[in-house]
Formats: sequence, C-alpha cells, structure tokens
Amino acid sequence: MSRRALPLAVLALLSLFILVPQLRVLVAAFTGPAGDPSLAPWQEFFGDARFREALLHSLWLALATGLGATLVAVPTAYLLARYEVPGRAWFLELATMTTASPPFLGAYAWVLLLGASGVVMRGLRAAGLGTPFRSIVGPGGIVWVGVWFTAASVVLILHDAFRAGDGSLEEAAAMAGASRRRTLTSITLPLALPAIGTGFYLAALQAFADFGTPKLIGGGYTTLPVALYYEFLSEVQRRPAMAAVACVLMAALSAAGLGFQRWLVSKTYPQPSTRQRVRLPLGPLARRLGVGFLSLSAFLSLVPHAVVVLTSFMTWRAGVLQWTPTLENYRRLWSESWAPIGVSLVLSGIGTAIAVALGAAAAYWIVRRRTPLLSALLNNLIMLPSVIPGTVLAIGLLLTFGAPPWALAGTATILVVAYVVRRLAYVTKAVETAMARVPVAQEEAAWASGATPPRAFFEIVLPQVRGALGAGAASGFLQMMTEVSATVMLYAVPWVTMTVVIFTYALQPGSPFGVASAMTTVLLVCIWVPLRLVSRHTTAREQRAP
Amino acid sequence: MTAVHVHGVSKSFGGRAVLQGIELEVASGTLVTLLGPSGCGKTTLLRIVAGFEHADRGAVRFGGVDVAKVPTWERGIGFVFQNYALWPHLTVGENVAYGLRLQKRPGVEKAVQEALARVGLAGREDAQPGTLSGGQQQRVSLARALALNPRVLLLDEPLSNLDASLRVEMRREVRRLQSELGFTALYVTHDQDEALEISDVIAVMNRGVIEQLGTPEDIYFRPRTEFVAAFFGEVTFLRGQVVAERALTLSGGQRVETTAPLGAPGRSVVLAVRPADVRLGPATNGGWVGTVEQVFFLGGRRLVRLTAAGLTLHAHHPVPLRPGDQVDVTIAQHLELPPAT
Amino acid sequence: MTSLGRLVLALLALAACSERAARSERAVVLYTVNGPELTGPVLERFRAEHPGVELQVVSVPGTGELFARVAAERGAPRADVVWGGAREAYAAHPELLAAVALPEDASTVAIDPEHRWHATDLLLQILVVNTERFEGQRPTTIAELAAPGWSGGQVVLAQPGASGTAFSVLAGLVTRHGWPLVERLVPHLWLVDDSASMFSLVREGEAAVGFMNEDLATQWAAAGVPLALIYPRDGVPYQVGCAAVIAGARHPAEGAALANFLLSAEAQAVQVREVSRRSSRRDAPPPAGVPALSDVDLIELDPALASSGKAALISTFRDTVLRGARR
Repeated sequence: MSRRALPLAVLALLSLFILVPQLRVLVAAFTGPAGDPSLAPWQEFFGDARFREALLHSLWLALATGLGATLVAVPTAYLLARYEVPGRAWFLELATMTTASPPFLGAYAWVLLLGASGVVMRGLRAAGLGTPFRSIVGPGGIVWVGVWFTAASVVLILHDAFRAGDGSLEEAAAMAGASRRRTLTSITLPLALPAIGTGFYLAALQAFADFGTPKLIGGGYTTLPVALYYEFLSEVQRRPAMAAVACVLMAALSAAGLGFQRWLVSKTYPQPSTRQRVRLPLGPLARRLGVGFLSLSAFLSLVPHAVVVLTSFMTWRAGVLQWTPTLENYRRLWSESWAPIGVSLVLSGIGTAIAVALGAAAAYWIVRRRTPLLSALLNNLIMLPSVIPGTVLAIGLLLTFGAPPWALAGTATILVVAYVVRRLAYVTKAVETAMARVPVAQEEAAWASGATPPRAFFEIVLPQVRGALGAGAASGFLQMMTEVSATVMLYAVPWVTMTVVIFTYALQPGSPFGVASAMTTVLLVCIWVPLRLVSRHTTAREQRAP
Repeated sequence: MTAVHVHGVSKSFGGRAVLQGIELEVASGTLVTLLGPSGCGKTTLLRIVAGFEHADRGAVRFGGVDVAKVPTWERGIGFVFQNYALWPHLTVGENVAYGLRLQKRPGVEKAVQEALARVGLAGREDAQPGTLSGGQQQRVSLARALALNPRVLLLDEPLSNLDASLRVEMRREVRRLQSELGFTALYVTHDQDEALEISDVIAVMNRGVIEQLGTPEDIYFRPRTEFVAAFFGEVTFLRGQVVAERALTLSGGQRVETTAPLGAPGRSVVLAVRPADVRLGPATNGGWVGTVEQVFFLGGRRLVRLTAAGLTLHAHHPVPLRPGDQVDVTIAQHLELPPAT
Repeated sequence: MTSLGRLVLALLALAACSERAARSERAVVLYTVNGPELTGPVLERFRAEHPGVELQVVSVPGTGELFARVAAERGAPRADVVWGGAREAYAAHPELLAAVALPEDASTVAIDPEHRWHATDLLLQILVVNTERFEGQRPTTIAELAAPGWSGGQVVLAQPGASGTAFSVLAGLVTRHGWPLVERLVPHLWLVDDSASMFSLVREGEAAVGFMNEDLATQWAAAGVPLALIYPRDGVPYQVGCAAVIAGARHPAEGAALANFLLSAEAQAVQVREVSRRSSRRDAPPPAGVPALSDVDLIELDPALASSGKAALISTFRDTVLRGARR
C-alpha cells in the first residue's frame, strides 16, 4: 500500500461527511422554488422582518456575550496567573469544571432563581425589598447566562497567555520608570491581546450558535438558530431554502469571526522565557478583594450546577417546584428513563473512539507534512466544522444523507457522524501540539531499527502523546455527551440521548422537571469523571511548573 | 569490496539543486566521512543512503544491489542522530533491544548487555534516557545502532551537540570501536579536525558536489581546490607568476620570497599558505612588509592577522606584537594548487 | 491495512451492528407530545394489560415537530402510534395515518368518518391571568383584549405557524370574530416561538395575560401557581386531541391495540384524574374543578378552515396581519 493511500482515504471520508453536506446547504441557499439557481431565497430572507430581526439579535447577543465574558475573564485570569492568591489551584479546577456543562443548564437554573417568580425575586419581594429588575427573562438573560457559561473557558485561555514569558518585559518597563498601571496597559495587556481576542471569539461564537439558551430564557426573543430550527422542523410552512440561507449566513459570519481571530493571533510577539514567571504577593486588602472577586465569579459560574443538583432532590408538581425533599425523581429516572443514559454513553463513547483514532492519525499527517498539500487540505477540512453551528451542521447532514441511497436520517450512525465531525478538530488540535514535540528523528531511528512506519507510529509516537490523547478524548467525550443543537435535529427512536430528554422536558410545560434535573445531575457526573482525569493531568503540569 | 556505492545521485528541493551527480564508494570495513559546511548537501546524501529521502536521479547500491525500492526498515542500516533520538518512554535497555526484538533474534538480553558494555555503559539497562548526560545518550544511540550489526552505520553529525572536550574523547571512542569491530561507516561532520582524526577516506563536499575525495593526508597536504585548502584553517592564497626559483610576483606587483622552490619561472601559480607557514621578522628594507592588524592570544601561540600588499594573511608567532607594528613576511612553506580546470 | 485503519473500521462496524440490532427490535414505538406526567400512568396500565408488548415512548416538544418527524420518516416509519395534538393537524396528513376502525371510536364525541384520527381529549384554550402580575379589572371576553384602550399588558400567544395550540386560538378567533378583531388584537400580542414559552411566561409572571390549555392551567392553579382561569364569554377555542396509528407501521395490530386503549374508559379516567384533561368520551365526567361543557361557549371550527385552510390562515396571519401591524 502506498504511504499516501490511507491519508487519502481519510481525506475522502472527511470530505464526504464535512465538505459535501456544507456544499449541499450552500446549493440549497441558491435554489429557487422550482429547483433553479436563484437568489430568491436571499430576497425572501432579507425581505422578512422576522429574519432580519433574528440576524441582528444573534449578532448583538454574540458581541455582548463575548464582551461580557472577556470583562469577567481578564481580571480573573490576570489575578490567577500573576499573583499569589490563596486557593489558586482550587479556582482553576473550578474553572475547568464549569467549562463542562450542558449549554441549556444555565438558562433553566437562572430562570428558577431570577425569573419573575424566581426564588430570589420572590424572596426579595417577600422581604419587602424591591427587585432591581422584574425578571431575567429576555435578551439580557441570554447574555447573562452566556457570559457565565463561557467565562471559564476564556479564563483558562487567558491564564496560559498571562503565564507566558518570564516577566522580563514588565521588569524592563518598570525599570524604565513605568508605573504598575502603565506597565499593565502598555505591556501586559497588548501582549495578551491575541489571547483576549481568541477568548472573545470563542465566547461570541458560542453565543451566536447557541440554541438552547435563547429558547429557554429568551422569552420569545428571536435568534437565528431558533428561527432556523422552526424553519426546518415545524410541520407547516417549512421553507428549507430559508433555513439554508440562515445556515450560510451563520457559517459565513462565524468564519469572518475566525478570520479576525487569526489576524489577531498573527500579531503575537514571542516573549522571552528563560525562567519561570514568579507570582507576586498581594497586600492584605488586595488579597481580600482578589479572593472576593474570584469567589464571586466562581460562585456565579457554578450556580446553575448547584441549582440543578438541588432541584433534582425536590418534589415537582405539574412542572412546578415544591420545596419538599424527595428521592422520587431518581427512582423514576431509574425505572423509566435509564435507556437514554446508555444511549448517550454508547454514542459518545463510539464517537470519542472514532474521533480519537482519526484525530491521532490526522494530527500525525498534519504535523509531519510529508505531503504538504495533503496535510494542508486535511487541516482545513478538520477545522471547518469548528465555525459551523451545530444546527447548520445537522441540516447539512440531513440534506445530504437523509434520503436514499444513504437513508441515514434518524440513525445512530448520523448522530455519531455529527459528533465526530463537530469534535474532531478539538481532539486533533490537542494531539497535534503534543505530536509536534516528538522529533521526527525518533521515528527515523525506529525505521532504521527495522520498524515499519505504522509500527513506529504505534510504538514510538503514540506512547509519547498518550496524555494529550487522553485529554482530547475526555474533552471530546464530554462535549459529545452535552451536545444539544445538532442532536435535537438528528435523533430518532431508539437513539434518544440524555440531552434530548432533558431538553424535551424543559420545553414541555407541566412535565416532571425533577426527573430532568435528576438526569442532568447524572449527566454532570458522567462528564465530570473524565474531566477529573484531564484536570488531574493539567494540575500535575501546573505543579511541575509552580 | 564496496559496501555502499552512490552512483550519479542528484537531488533538488523546490527547484534548488542540493546534490549534483554524486559518485562515492564506501569500501567494507572503512569509515568514510562527508565533510563540508552546512548546506553543502552532506546530510541529504546520508539520508538518501538511509532511505529517508529519495534521489531524483542516480542509484544507491548496497553490496551491488540497487536499494531504490528497499525502504529504510529493510536496508539493514544503523543510524546515529545528532540529537541522539533516544525514545524517552523506553529505558536504555529497551532502546537498544527494540530493533533486536523486531528481528526476533535470540538472546536479546545478552546482546543488549554486550552492546552497552562496548560503549562503556555496562549495567545501565534500566536507566531512563532523560537521566543520562549528552555523551552517555550518544553512547546509547551508538550501542542501539551497532547492536543490529548493520551493513553500514550512518552517523549524522553525532558529536555536534557535545561540548568540545567530550567531542574529542568521543571521536577517539568511535574510531576505536570502528577498528575493533571493523564495521562500515558513513560519517557526516562539519568539523575538519574530527574528520582528519577519524576517517579512512574523506569526501569534502561543497554546493552539492564532492570537491575532493581522498585520505586525510591527501586532503590536508594535497588539496586540489581553493575550497578544500581553505576548509582547514585561515588560508591565504597567493596568485602570481614565478619569477625566480624561490620568488614570485603577485598580481599586484609585489615580489614575494618563498623558502621552498617554485619550479620553472614564468608559470602562473596559486599558492595556499597556512598560518604555520608564515614567518614574521623585524622589518628590514627590501623585504615583503606587512602591518599587524590584530593579535589573538591562543595560549601556546599567538595568531597574528596582518595586511601586506592588499592581502590579509594569518601567521603563528611566538612573541607579542601590537597592532600597527611593521613586520617582514616570509613564506616558509606552501601548498601549490593544481591549475583550475 | 494498518491497525489504525482496522480500528476505525471495527468501530464503524460496531456502530452499524448495534444499529441493526436496535432496529430489528420488537418494541412498539409511541410518539407523543404529552409529557411523562400523563404517559407514565396511562402506559403503566397498558403495559399491565399487554405484558407481551414492549413499548417505547418518545416525547416530542410540539405538534409541529411531531408531524415533521413522522413526515420525514414516511416510507420507513419508526413510530407505530402518535398521540397528542389537534384533530386539524391529523386531518392535514391523511397520507401519514392508517385508517383503522377502533372498537372504542363509537364512545367518543368526535369520530373521523375515515377512522384515521381517534379523539382522545377535548382541549380548551382559555385565557389566564397571573394574579400576582395582573392589576385592574380582569377581562371576561376576548374582545376586551382587542379593544383600543386595553391596558392589561401584552397577551402572550405563540406563532400559529409553530404551535398547534396557537393555531387553534387563531382559527377560533377568525371563525367567531373574523380578521378585523385579530388585526386589532395583534398590537397587544407578545408573540413567542412555541406553546411551551407561551404557557410558562404567564406561569412565571413574565406576562400578565395569555392563552393556555385548560388542563395545564387547572393543574398549575392547583399546584399553587397564582393563575386565574377565564372562560371568555365571547367564545372559547378548543381542539379535539387525537391519537392515530401510523400508515405502514411495523406493528399495526399492537399499534391499534394501543390507540384503542388510549380511548378506553380506563385510560381516560387516568387522564382526567392525573392531568385534569377533559375526556373525549361521552360517558366521562369533567375533571374536578372545571365547569361543565354546557356552561362554556365553545367555538366550532369550520372543518375546511381547520384542515386544508391551515396554511392559508397562517400565511395570512404572518404575511398580512403581522406585517401590517409592523408598518
């Protein structure tokens, strides 16, 4: 077998499942009612005030969420990276844990607390105090939930950026007579700008593509993913061409965001790093303020988790929370709804295994660049889905593989395909970095010792990237477990996942949300276990480099 | 008998010719060195012999058999890398045993012990490569390659990452092993001292061609090109016409006396003069006068850089001189390069 | 072939195998828009009576999604029975539903002459106000909400194109009052994407007034939600909730047995008791605490408007009425 045959086969497979569906969406967006090439869908889209509104809403939500998350994350990450804060490792651990939560979790919990009849609001009113606002429901609520959902990931990115370098640039600025504040604004922040841009982009992208949060807490505030869902999945007046236009717009805007982020990253200056950056001590007042700020932001990030776990042990009557403790929800979960737990675990497990296998191979081909064109194609193909919202991806898959001869609609295969396609980029990037650190000479040494390239890959390269492979697998797994936006469009009997059940319950007024809370709690356990393993890995790294 | 025959090998990367029609024979049991500055193509040639790269034209033969279609892992070579390329997740013993296990040879353990003992690392089987010094790591790498009994051992600047004294010690070690075991080796280096000391044959490479192929004495004493001559130290080239048995006139008109005879007057010659060949004396009227530019103290001697008749010369000199001093220059010894073809 | 390639192939094969295994299973599949609070107790009894039938329940958030799903699976249906959603939605898709005469059909108040849909409940869309939120005189008619001087705040309604409940409201209003009332009402509406939001916004007090299904309003009021139920004197829209056997179902006999069971006195009694939903049976009493049907002015829909006129009604609303209001 030629050494290019396998990468070519993988390239073809990925093209089929990544590129073809998106091209199919693109074609649909330019197809008129009679099946002719036409701009009619675009005219119809922009002629409809509802869609124009949805587009503007989604854009402003994305920008506001990105800005909010950055404003929270910059001071948090700066404190953790540069100062001796008590409980630093603990705060980082919490941040890692919050990055792994189902996207709809925050919306549900915050409505329970800060909705017009939320617990906190009722309490404030009962105590005779006014409430600063009547309800969190609305666009403000979407942004609030989005900020606390994404801030933790941005903190982790920025923490690494603020740790980079050895501080000699700041010392030089201080010696040149710059005040602390001036050093911060003229040296530290500009150096971290690419990372800040990346964080902003990730938070904004998440908000832009989020489907569950606006639906649960938006109070009818139209957004593009929700409008898209109804254009595609409602029974009357379906206009797939409209949905396709929305898809193309979303993908194009996300890609434009990515372009901006790339441009910022290209402005990165390498920082001298000859020794470890030393964390500075804090004065007593600053120390108290810092810990207070960190605790508050950790608390706000973790509120949804606490609420859902708490309410899973409470009685619900006709979908209304009664404050009576019970284990009934778990009993019912066990007797009625255990199947989705299995389905989620199995599908995510298979998806993770495939993503890890493909990701490891792809990372290898991309890093080694033995055939540069092939490496570049593979890299771009794998990265493509990271700018495509889940809903859009699902529609592409349905348009392409829904009908015979594929007839994959509603199969487990199409769910696994969607999971792999959506998460392959993350796994690949995780492995790539580690693989780039394995010198080519080590492989050549194995060849010279008589090992064939596959054998050298498995016995020499793979064992050295085991950590990254595990981290990629764990994060891929938890992202697949919590996937909502593509799953709700693609699932069918019997492949009902935990997220589908939780989401359906959350949307059915009067349904026993206690069972959904219990299931969410089980889901959190399912994703925190692998995450513990990953964060132990990263904590170990932290400790090696104190 | 010829172990490795490189015949007419050419290679270019992205339109830039890296190797141009290389001819080279490595006789069994000899150590041949590819010597040249970085970018001369020596490493590419070695990697083509290893099968890591493929020649655009020409052939590589092992024992008379063309290996174009034989991949690295079937060529039966040993390869020692500049950065050791030990596998960090395996112990020293496992590193050495890896290839032996692949060949399913009996008595792997014993072979590993012997291989490590040979390089002075007996009993270090269970050490992690990362805990060894650079010199020890390169010994392990050498043991790993030699344990396989390769048809040819390929070494790519194996000592460049070591510090100077260790480098000298290690090259004697390599030479000792080579004479004891009698293996065939192709050795790449940019260090002329290393090449002179270690090699049976040296191939001096420049810009993708072999400038001169010969024994270390040949290369040192009978360089055929200015490049080869210049490669072994600060050489000055004197171009001119022989005007007397021991004198020539440089193209600038300056008359230069030599101690060694120059042959028939009237010839055009190019002489290569090394610092050890230049004698400096007190300035007298009528001699070739130079001006001291700079003096480098090298411990046992001084290296003096001077200009004379527009040329820059280097000379070894025992006593201190100061920049600006005027000295008489005589050429005690010289190498004559063959006329350029 | 390398071992990596083999691994990927093996995993794909594993996925395909488990897929086939799952597809060939014997389970009778029920798609329903009803939540587990109703499906749980009803199906528990069905399972007790039919121990040989394996049953799988899939909840779908709305009637729109339900029929989109069934339509998408046409040709290779995965579901055997659908349950929940209005008669009009069923009547609009005769090609998706099997014509099966059920023994219990005769006991219901509404009978499909073709026996494709089978009535399971009567669902009234009444007005509710959140008593904590609402101030002033509570309305007693829909006309009050459309009056120019209406000051009770925005009235929540879902997009009729996306929600079966909202469609029923719209169709009822057009039938009884005509488009002019709808046009006057639109400026006072808070339009949301789905019926779930429509209901929960009033429940949470996000909105003061809205339309709501009678059963849900009754349950919530009983669970302590501050809701007042209003049966408008100028007409109450209602739907006949249905179940049906899917055309080409893999388990037609078991499917028909299940659909028949849903109409039975036993199942209907559970429905009335557990979720306060009115029975479709002539012999069943109304749920506790709701007025008798004879005391309510129900709006009877023009059957043509309800089924074939549905798309036209929705596009008139969306394209003419809404745009007119925006302008």
